[in-house]
Amino acid sequence: MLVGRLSGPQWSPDRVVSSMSAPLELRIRNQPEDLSPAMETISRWLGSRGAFAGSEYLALLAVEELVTNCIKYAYDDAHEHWIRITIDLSEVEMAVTIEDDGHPFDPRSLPEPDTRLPLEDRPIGGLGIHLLRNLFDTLDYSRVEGHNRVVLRKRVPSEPST
Amino acid sequence: MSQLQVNVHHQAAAGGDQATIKLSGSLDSTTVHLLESRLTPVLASHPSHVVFDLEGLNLLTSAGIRLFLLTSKQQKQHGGQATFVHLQPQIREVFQIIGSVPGMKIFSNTAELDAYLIARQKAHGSGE
Repeated sequence: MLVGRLSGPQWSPDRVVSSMSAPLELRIRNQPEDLSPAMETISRWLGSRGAFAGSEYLALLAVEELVTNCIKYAYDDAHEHWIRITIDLSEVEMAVTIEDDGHPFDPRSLPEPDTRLPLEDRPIGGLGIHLLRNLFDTLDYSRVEGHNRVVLRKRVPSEPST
Repeated sequence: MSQLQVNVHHQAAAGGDQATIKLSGSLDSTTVHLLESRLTPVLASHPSHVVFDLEGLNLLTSAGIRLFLLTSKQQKQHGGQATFVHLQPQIREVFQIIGSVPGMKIFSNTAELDAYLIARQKAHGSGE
């Protein structure tokens, strides 16, 4: 890279590389009106990074489903809480991480809906999580120091997608 | 901001009336209420077909799917149908994951939809 020519006492190739591949980190309040601007920022960020085809849809879907769940169900009190969204993009995969300090909730505990059942007989909840489990390669959950952490990973498709 | 544009076009046809609802933008938890409010009077008139044209839709989340499922169910209750046309690849994938639903039909283009509607109208007409 040409930046090598700018080499000086403050510069190291590692630092440049790591800042270029730094993840996007957003902190939003548990308020529905904070969601849209965050999604807008994610779109722009992924666009500017030339992320793989389909990554924007996946990231926006993940954030919308998980953050909406969190805003609706994670808190009993009327206090303001912060939800952290991290999007990490490497050459291999995209990882979407959502962290909140709400009630412990493991999305993997939701049963998979039986899509063969007639519509009338299907439970209405859990649809968003069902989508994410099917569209992403992995969904991990951990409870760390009073926080829920959900990590969704999607490998970069090897074939150019249309 | 996530935004949704809803265009409703209601027309009488030979085999019953048809409401076409063109959506563009993002159908998610913040915008679903807009579609719901536009849809309520349409469904109340019991159209034989509600056609959702999703060509301009770039995000569909579970909030939107729930409304689609509910619409299909309501349509089925009075013998009508909800059809979906022009699904972008990722929207199509979402529909595939949900699985087939009674009262719901999906078409890849308008020609396919028209052929179906004409056939249904003919069947409808000859049956009465």
